[in-house]
Amino acid sequence: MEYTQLIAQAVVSGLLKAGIYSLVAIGMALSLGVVKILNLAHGDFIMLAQYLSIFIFAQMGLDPLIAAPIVFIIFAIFGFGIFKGLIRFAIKTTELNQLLLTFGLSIFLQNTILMMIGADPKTIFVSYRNVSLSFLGTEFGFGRLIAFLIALIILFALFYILKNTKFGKCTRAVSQNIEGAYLIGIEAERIQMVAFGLSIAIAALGGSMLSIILSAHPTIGLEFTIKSLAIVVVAGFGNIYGVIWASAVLGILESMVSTLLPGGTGLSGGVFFLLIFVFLIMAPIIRKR
Amino acid sequence: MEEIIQILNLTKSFGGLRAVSNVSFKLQKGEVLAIIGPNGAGKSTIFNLISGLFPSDDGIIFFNGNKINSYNPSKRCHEGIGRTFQICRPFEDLNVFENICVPAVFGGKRRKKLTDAHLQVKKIIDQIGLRGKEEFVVSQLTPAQIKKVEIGRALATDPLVLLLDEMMSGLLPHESDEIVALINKINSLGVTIIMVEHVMRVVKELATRVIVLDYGKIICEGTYEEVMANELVIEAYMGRDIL
Amino acid sequence: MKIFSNTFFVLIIISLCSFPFYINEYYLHNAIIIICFAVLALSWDLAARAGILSLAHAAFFGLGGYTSALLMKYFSLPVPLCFTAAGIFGSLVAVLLGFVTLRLSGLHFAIGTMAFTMLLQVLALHFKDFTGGAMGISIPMLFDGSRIPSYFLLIAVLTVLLICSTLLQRSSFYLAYTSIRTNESTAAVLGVNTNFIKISLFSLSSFFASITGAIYFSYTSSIIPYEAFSLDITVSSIVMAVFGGLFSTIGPIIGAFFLKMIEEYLRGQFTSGHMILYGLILIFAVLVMPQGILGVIKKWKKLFKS
Repeated sequence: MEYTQLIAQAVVSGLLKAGIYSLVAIGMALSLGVVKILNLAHGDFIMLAQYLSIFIFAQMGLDPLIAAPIVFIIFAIFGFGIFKGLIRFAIKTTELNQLLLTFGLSIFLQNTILMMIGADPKTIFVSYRNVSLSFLGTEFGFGRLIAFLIALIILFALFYILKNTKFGKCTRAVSQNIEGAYLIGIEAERIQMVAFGLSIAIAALGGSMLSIILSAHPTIGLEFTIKSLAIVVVAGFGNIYGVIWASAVLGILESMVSTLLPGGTGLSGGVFFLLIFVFLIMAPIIRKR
Repeated sequence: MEEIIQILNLTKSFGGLRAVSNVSFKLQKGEVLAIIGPNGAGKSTIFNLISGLFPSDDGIIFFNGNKINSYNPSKRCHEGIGRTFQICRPFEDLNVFENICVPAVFGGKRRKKLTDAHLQVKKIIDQIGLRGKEEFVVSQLTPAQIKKVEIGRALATDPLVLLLDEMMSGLLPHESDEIVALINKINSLGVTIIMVEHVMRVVKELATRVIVLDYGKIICEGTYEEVMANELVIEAYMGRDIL
Repeated sequence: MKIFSNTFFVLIIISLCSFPFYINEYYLHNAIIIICFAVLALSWDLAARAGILSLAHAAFFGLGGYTSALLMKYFSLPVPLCFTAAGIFGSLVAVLLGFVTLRLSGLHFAIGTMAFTMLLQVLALHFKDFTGGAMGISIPMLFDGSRIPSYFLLIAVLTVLLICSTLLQRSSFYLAYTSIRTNESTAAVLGVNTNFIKISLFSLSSFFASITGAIYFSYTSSIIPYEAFSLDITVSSIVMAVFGGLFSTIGPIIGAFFLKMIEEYLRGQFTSGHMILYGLILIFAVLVMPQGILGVIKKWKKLFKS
């Protein structure tokens, strides 16, 4: 009986985590799918957003969830700027050079924060951080629940935009066939800029949510870059809707490994990598059948 | 006269599209077969299936007495299947000499030593008429010259069967005359040729037999004259009178 | 292409062999580190010549380090044997990894190899009883801490790698891997055995990464997972190869030399934040000289000729 309790607990905490993971992963999917670039600095923007949220809370007393729209806009503009100033040129080079460019950006961002703020983890304590809720015998933080719900809302808003608005259709066109998009009059580069800005801004929202749950540290960027990459790989490139269930699967698996395996917390990160690996190998075989 | 290649019931679909549908034919050594048909009829797909770039859904390919369905592309090359590509694919980082050297070393039945390969490459460069241009890189060549490199590379694999994919496209008349003469010479040396072509003048001049493909199926087979007179063929190319 | 004449090389070799006796320990230590990275960069380049953009280089670096350390710890084998075994084990793992991943497209392959590296790190952290977990393993100091023999050992490894690379560039393998890199299916259709060439190069590249890892961690006398399997090592190797000039024997070595010098200079000039500049330099280099230093030299040569 206790076993099922543990599993249920793991599922619930995994699902809640998945909310944030999917925000971060959607950002990666957008930049990978529309701009066709693997942004190794993706996770570092999340880190920056986390710090910004903490800063806003510390200086102005604004709860990160309320300040989230501000963070969103700031990072959207930031993303537009990075695209116009940097990424735009990277698209024209080889894939290898793109990797190096975004890696250089990652080093730059990480070390700037390291120098300005230092390496000690920064934490904030919102009033409800330690409030615990109970549901069918499982326990979870109120903060996590709110973060999860907000993440869901944002995701559905994004899906609606992609499916129904003109912008959304243009974006899908660019991601499927950029030359075709040019031919029918779509300003592909403008769409890419917006998509990239969006990818950063949505991921930044994930960072805002994180700030109420996790301490901020300059080096967490890489972890999120890889995890969002794992989710995109499992969901399948170009499959934005798949990101939700892939995040859920990965979040739950990570929780289960952490809860159920002795000494599992160390291995839980490994779950992601193992899954990436397995999926990459299995995918061509499955496709052949 | 021995049979060099036999295709039986070759079928390939891409998703819902039947690109090649139950195609069968056989060739004797030394023949020149032309495969013609409207665009999208599946001609290049047949070449890709024969050279092994992807597996067929159904059907058997016999080559020189062996069933080669399970062979990968480089093994099929060693068996004696050489091909050119419709959109030429020269190696940009290598010059003309090196481009032809790759198959000269690796494409024959056995791997050749570099010195032996060099001799073969020199001979081929003379045959295709690119003497003096060995050091040129792709960006320095005219389209006709790039086509010659394509053929040169296929020749360097010591092919028994040469698959030529729309060799004449984009060439001026005097350029295509050169290539036709080259193909004739290659054929006279005993190489069997299968060509996908749109330029009918060339088909008429070179082909001993013609196969017409439409929507992945063979709709007619015979000599050039027979095929050109066939109603189905005319319909496929010209469309049917709606009246 | 011959940029530097043979006499130049001979001069370099003579100075490389004599200068460790004239400089102090600090510079000798730096030289040793530079040589390690030169081997890493050039060995990464070997696989890249066949179009293999591996992000698993650090995986083999760490794997070699751990293999050697564990062989020393549990079997007390002589040090040279441990190093060699580490190299061979690394190359065998590469063959296995290659079989499984080399049919993947470029981006998938990169991600898969990155995941492999992270996976190894997690495993090294987890199996504490075996690998010492986060604290790692302490290793008896190489040559009892004497730097000069360590230096020459690494020079020897670099020399072997240089010879391998040069021989490959002058052989028919050059044609094979360049054609595979440019267009793999065309190369296959022309008779090149693409799988064999790719796995062989990947294995050779990993051999050098592994044996260098074994030597390096013996030199620093300890190995921990965060250092051994760090993505930084993979990316450094790649950056140095690109910065110096890809697909050449000299390029990655030039890249390793210059980038390490730049890093040390920045570290000396700026007490904190030197990595910020390093990141900027990376970005700048990719945008302005994507062909690396060798590319710039080639352009100058062309300008001078005309």
